[in-house]
Amino acid sequence: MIGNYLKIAWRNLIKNKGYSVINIGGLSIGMSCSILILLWVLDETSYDKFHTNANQIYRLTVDAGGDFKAAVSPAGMASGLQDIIPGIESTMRLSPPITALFEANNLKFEEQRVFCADANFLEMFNFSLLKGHPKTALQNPNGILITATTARKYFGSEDALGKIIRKDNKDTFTITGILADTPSNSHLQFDIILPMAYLAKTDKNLIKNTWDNFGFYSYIQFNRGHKLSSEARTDLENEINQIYASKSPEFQPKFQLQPLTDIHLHSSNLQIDVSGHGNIQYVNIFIIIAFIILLVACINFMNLATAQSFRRAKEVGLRKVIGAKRKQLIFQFLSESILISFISLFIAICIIYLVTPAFNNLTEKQIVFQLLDNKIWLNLILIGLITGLFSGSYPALFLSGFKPIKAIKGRLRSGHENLLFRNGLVITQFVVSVFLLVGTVVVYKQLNFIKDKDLGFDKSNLLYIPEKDGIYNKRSALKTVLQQNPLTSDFSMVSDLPTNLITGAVNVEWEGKDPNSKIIFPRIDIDENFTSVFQIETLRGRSFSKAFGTDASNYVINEKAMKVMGMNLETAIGKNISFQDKKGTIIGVVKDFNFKPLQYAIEPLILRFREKNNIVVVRTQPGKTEATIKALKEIYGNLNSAFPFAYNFVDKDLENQYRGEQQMGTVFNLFAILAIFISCIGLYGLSAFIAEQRIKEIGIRKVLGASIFGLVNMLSKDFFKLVLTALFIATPIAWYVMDTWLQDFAYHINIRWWMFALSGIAIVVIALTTISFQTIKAAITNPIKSLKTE
Amino acid sequence: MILQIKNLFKWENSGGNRVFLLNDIDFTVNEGEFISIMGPSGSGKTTLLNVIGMLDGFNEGEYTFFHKEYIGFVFQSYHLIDELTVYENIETPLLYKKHRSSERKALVADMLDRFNIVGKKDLFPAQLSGGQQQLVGIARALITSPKLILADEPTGNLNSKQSDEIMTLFKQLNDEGVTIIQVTHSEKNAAYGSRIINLLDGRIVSN
Repeated sequence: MIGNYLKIAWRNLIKNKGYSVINIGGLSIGMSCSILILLWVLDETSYDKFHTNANQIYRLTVDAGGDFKAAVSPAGMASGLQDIIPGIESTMRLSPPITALFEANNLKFEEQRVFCADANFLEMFNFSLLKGHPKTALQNPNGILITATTARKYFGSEDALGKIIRKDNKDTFTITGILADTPSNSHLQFDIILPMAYLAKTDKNLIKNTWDNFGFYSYIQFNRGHKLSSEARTDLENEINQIYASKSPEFQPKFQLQPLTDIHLHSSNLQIDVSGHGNIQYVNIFIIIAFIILLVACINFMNLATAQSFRRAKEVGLRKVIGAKRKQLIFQFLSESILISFISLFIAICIIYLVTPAFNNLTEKQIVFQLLDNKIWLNLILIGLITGLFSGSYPALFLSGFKPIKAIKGRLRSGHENLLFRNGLVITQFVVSVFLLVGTVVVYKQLNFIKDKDLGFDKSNLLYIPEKDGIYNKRSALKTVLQQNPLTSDFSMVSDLPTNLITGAVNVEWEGKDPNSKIIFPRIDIDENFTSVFQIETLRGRSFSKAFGTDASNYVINEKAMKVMGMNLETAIGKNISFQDKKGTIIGVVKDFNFKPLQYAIEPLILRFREKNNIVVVRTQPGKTEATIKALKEIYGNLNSAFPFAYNFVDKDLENQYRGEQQMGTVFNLFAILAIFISCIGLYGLSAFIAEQRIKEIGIRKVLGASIFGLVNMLSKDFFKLVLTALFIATPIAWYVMDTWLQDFAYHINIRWWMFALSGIAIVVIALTTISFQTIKAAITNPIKSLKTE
Repeated sequence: MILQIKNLFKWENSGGNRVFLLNDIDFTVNEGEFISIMGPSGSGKTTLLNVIGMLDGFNEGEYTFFHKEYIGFVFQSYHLIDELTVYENIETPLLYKKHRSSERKALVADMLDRFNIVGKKDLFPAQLSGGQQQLVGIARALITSPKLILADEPTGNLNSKQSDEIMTLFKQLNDEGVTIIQVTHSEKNAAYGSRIINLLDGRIVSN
């Protein structure tokens, strides 16, 4: 029976080649898009699940109030909690990433993916250790773990275990373990792990196990079987807050236990975090897009199958006359659509194999499409079945419902209901297209807005040399040399760049401060050149200067800080404030400038005067960047030959901050275009069919004197109405969704009516162009031909 | 008695007027009869046949079909499924009756044999002459061993030689005990039958 059905299905496919190509083509493109997105989603949601105890491990995060949430906690806290709260099996701390120079085998490299970890790092996490002993590898302060790739980088094919490696030209370490490269789906991405014991030699917070300085990532592993429902977690968090309050009555932030497996996707609002996180919002958006694309492809299939129903009408009628029951016919048509769906699935799989490398490139993932993976092929078969059943459902019900005698005699008018349904489908497709197009426009505008936003300082031509250990004692000499060279004389030494500032303090006092206020004040240490090099406007007073010997105890604040402290431009200068228990006078107010990614609004900022700081920023003269770099290289080489010279550009750094958004934007655009393309394939098929159906009418009209333009117009009018309807439906939906996305940014564009107009016009043009191929063809056909066929 | 029709009406409303397609039809068919329904175009012959075959409904009256056995249909324009071969066309009714595969093979082989079309079993309808197509159509109607065959101008598209062959076949089937009702224009074809019902404007004018 099923064999008979498939045979018929196959012969029909061959007979109507054009429609088959459109059907299968649209469906394969749709399927490959959806499957690719699903692979991406699977990868995004797989983060950190490879740890055996993933469900027992939590990271301690903190909400300091006023929108300031951070991934860090104090050094002494995790182990302190373990002593008090029962059920904690172990705790482990990790330092924020360190940039350091490593040297071994006469090779020097600057490493940026370096962490310090407590000795039980490999017991809590299941990063596989290729060589060495997991329990003892980080016990000794002179031990060091490196990944296989790092080992190859320094030692080639030699066995690196037991070899010596030097950090920053002074500390030597013995390699006590070789780690496998970090799995791509780990929120921690590292090349080198140093023992916390090494850092504890110098770090006061570690030595004293402090509870007030937030500088470490703390992971807490609970006993197996310990209740960790969301209520239990809230109770635990309350307990932690109480414990912290007893230790620090003056500052009471709220702590949270963040599940390990949530870190990758649910950390977008956390500051001072490791980089490279995903965003659950994008995962959700992409799941919806995958679904939408598949839906659009299914609609093509439904639409064409229903439109062509008259071709199958006679067969349906005959089968009924010779004894087929409706159920059997439904089954026949469903098996047909499933056949088509699986042919498309096969093609889609081939497409995926071809485009995976490009897709990985675009999304910076390492997705491997493994067909034999249980989860994958089960999902694929499921997708094939669901697509087949869904897209075949309406045609099957519709076709099997024909009255046999009418069907055989070909007296089948495409019913009103059928037309309504088909129009509904076309409208749905165009609602999707308009939505995606508006989305594309909004995302594009917002990303451009971010790129071009006036940050309050001039970000172009700013070159900086990151913090260097070896230069610390030579900063005065450096300053002198930089001043002497005209290429580098426009420079400033700062403690932090105004790109993603992670400093912050709550102990700021001013006259009239609300004692309950817990506002965080970020801080930058600057020299006398800061405002001129960054071109930041001073609104009142002055910036720091060496000319006044007293500036070390003075402060410059930004506008926002001025408002927070209840002052204005007339009153601010000369007011006394205290910052981190150090009293001083406000000598200047600068115009607000952004010092964090644009997701965050500008916070009150304190600028402190330090003549010497670690980061050197040089404003290069236009066109002389190359020469400046060369000059700087020479200067640094003379002062500190031990370190490789490295530099970055402030605007590049700023751009990198929005990589996630940029990537999301690119992928969004790509799939939006594909979804529109698939819709057009369907529209093309439908217009071909309708032109064919009306060929006699067109012939008669032509004989009666209709012009080609008039005919094209007549044939296009119906589609035009559908597209307009879609535009009306899509507008509020797109408005709402895109506005929600924009609200994530403290600085964002506003949605404007022209974005809809533009998308609407684009869709109308695309749709009319698509159908024009068929309408024009139909309109210029010689009427004799079309009339003779009757 | 195989079926009985009592005071049967079928009408259509067109523009406020009721147009009767079948008007007070009243007749009985006994097992083994060979009935020809005749009448001019538009007299309701095909409509009546469709009602008998339960392919079409009616508005008023009674229709009793005494044997629930299968009815076989034969059409003027053969109505074979274009995408299926001769063999597959004949086999299809059996598929819907859920016969086992071996059984189907045997039955179809018998039928092909009986109509001398074994050599054509893998051809598609478009590759056959009209007469051959109608043979396949009859073979398909007979494959489920129906008690009643309803034939709507079975020779309407055939030349006289082919017509005679088909009518002879029907006569032969009738002799074997199959009840046949045919719609025809041709007196000659009607002569093969045992009874003639004449229709005019949806009414039986002679029986």
